[in-house]
Amino acid sequence: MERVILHSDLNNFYASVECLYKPELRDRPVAVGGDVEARHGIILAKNYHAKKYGIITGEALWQARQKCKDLIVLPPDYKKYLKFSKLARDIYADYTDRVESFGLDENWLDITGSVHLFGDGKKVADEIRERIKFELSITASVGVSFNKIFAKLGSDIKKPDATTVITRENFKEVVWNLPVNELLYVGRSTHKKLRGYGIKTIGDLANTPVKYLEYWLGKWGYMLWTFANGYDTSPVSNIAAKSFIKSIGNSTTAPRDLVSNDDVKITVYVLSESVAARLRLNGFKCNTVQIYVRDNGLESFERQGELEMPTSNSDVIAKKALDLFEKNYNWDKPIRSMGVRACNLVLTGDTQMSFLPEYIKEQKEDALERAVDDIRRRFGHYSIGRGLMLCDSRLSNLNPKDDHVIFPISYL
Amino acid sequence: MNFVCDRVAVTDAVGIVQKAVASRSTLPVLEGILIKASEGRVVLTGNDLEIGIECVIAADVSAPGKVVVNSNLFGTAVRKMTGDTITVKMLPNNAVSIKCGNSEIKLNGINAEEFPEIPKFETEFDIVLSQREFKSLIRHTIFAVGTNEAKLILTGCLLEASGNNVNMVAVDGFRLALKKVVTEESSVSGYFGDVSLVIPAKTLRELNNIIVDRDDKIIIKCSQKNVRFEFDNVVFTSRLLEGDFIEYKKIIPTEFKTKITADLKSLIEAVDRASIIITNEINKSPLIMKISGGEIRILCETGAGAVDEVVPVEMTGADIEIGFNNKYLLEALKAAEGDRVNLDFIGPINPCLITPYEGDDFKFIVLPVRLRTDVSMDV
Repeated sequence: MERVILHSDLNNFYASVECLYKPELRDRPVAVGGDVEARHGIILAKNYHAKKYGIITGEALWQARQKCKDLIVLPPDYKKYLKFSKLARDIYADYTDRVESFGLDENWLDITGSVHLFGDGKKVADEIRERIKFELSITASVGVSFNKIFAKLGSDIKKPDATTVITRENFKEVVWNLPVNELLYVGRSTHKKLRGYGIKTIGDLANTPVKYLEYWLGKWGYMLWTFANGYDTSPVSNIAAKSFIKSIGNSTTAPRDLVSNDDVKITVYVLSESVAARLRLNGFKCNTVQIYVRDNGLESFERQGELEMPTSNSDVIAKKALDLFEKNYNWDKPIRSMGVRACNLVLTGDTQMSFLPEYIKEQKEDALERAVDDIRRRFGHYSIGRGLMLCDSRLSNLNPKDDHVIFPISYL
Repeated sequence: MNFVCDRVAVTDAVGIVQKAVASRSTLPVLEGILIKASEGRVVLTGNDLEIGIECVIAADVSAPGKVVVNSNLFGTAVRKMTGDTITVKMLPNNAVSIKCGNSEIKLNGINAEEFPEIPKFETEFDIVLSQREFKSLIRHTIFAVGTNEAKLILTGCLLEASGNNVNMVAVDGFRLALKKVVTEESSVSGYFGDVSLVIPAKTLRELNNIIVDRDDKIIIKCSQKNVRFEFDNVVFTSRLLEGDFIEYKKIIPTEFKTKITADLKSLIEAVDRASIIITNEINKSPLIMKISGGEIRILCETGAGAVDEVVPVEMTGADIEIGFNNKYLLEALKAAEGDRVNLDFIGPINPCLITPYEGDDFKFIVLPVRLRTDVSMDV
């Protein structure tokens, strides 16, 4: 049976939500940007008025201000976005249980099983858009297609508040003329490579012999080729988002420069707790820990190390990160930002019981950390914490897990 | 050095000692076998520093002597020659001439003094059992040996001898295999205490390939660091694994909530079929056993499909639902003997004990997989 897949993209999500709370700003250029005081100064999202000035997501606030000196920059308030994201997903849930999130503002829906109840893809897409507009007062663009990749492309084609249907009959006209970097997972470096081989559009990619693509890009070449030809068969499910995750990391620019191993320890533990909690949430363990360090001269480096056995335990991750740090940094300069990343992920799956004390210990600690996750989910992030965090609350006053937003790669 | 001997006997002996020859080494002498001729006999020796094998063959020795030749070349040469007897003669500069029928092959050798010595040691007691019994000990336990080099002691099997009992135990952390044989005479001669040693799995695998299912004796002697197996015309020496083996007796449960008896063949076939759809690391999920109402239902579901098997059993105690790694369960069942087998359970996260329907020859323990409680995706 032909699948019916929708991709719903909430237009200018952060900026639209902010404008709901401050209607007086609706007709002015508005952007949501990082906290300048805490030195996270980049544009996270902007509204259509700001877009007219050529402001791009990811650029520094000062760059944006040069383009538009009247730009109103609001600090992000993730609680609001999470709330609206949840409300939108509640609407999707009325049509199908197969909803896969991609960031806060994008979702795939597989409605193959419910078309006989609610009508065809376009009808459901239009209905969802109407409900989002009516119930949430924000707009969405929805792509309808027979696979996830084209559904996502569809939602990008016409914005805001529009439905685009891509079928097996029309996809060559609709999709193949689009620039190749519109395709999901064609990021900056892949785009550069493809351009080097004269591949400009998705159609060019689709018509390139797959063996060349495999030669140039490895297995991704094959993957992208199937995407361009509409052969993608990856399923939509509320957990399938995991299969795309290759690593989980958090980084932060510290509110003040870090000057000692003690400062670094606090920051590394804050980041590691977030990374570990996100690993658990997504059902992963990691085999490798990577650190990123940038000093106040903006010189940066990365180092990584292998763990003895896969873990999603924050203490193990933090200890490895600190070990890497101490072996590789001699404090020439104070540190401005740090990151901790878990790579080489394996699915947690089911836990094999063991006789060995180290496995038993790992399983006990895992249960402890999950209990902490649960407490934090119910009573808030700061309801429980390590004693270490009390040493310098300015450094530890950070919740990277909830403040963290996964930007769809195609937006970067 | 000059001797004449039976060609087939040499070929067989090379086949045995070759198991202790390094296939590729930075030291050429380790890729060789030592040929040592003395009054009426020739000893071939292979030694890769982990294990050393000596094999004796009868020969008509006219001049004693010794030399090292490349094991592979020498073995191939004698195997491909035709004729009943061969004549081996030492030439100048450690070269060796092998004559058989109308052919003569000359091989360049290495000075025998460079060949590493196999550790020699005297012991006060021997462990004696038949080759058949020893093979059975290996076969019933080797599958459960650990592969993690970080837990070196568990990459070997524990051999325990006491009175007429000889036990072998392997534990990899997730399962345990224990096999017991009762010897006719006291297994430990000349000693009244208990003996325990941990033998590397590689040693046991090689031994298993050499010894045969016969009643001929195998004599085991050990020192603190090494062990020596003497059987037929072979002396097989190996280093032992040092350290404390896991206290396995503590992990064998004795009280159970559910006990079943099943037909072994049906159970193996059902588990085997349920494993069909576990095709790789991604299409992998535990077998779920639901034991209730006089049957085991074995369920498995992966990206490749789903299997549902029912095996009737005799059962006492409570219903239970428990998950297993299919490989651990299957290997334990395949090593089991008899028409019927007992499986005893405590709970879904406790060990499962597999024992023979009658007797207590073997005990296999498989630890279950804790079945995942739903992973929630709430942002």
